Amino acid sequence: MADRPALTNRIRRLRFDRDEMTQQALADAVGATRQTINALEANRYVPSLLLAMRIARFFSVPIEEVFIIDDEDLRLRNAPD
Amino acid sequence: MAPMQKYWTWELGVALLTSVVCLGIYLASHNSQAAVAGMAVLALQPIGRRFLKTTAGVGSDERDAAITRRAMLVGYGIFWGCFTIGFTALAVVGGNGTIAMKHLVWAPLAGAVVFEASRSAAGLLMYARGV
Repeated sequence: MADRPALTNRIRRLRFDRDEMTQQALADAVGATRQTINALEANRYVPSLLLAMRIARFFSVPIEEVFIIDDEDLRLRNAPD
Repeated sequence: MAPMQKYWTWELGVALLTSVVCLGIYLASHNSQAAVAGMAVLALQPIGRRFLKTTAGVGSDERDAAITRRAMLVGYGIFWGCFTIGFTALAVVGGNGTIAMKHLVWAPLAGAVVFEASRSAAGLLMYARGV
């Protein structure tokens, strides 16, 4: 369970739904590099709140529809000792 | 390859080239003081900044900044470890716990090479493995 990312996202899906826009186009739109978008889609990078909100706003969806937190991870963190 | 990756690659290349040139001069002349002249290769470092200039798109973002911060910490940690162990060893080897003046000439420059090499290698590793 430790090697499962706690935060996943639907950026690739949203990007394809938007006329299969390129990673570079999304990167330019949200002020990031293409490599960062690639790392995000591969779940190798957890973005700042600012970048996450920029991406959500760009796709005109709530932030929860872009980024999905692992429910089990959340449950374990909130569990009493 | 991101502009910052090119920059780190250049930095690592300069650090390695410096080491090779210093070693080459030392092997050719058997004079450690002459080998210090090889440190002049470090002057190539600022050229790496040109990789950060981009004509289109974003040059660097928050992930690049995070990687740079972490790479600096790794580089400084390794530098400090080498510095402490190196100078302790030189003091033990030197008579009466002193460090010979000739070592004080090359040690700061060697420290700069160690710092640059470890910092840039750590940066490239973070880009490859993800942060």
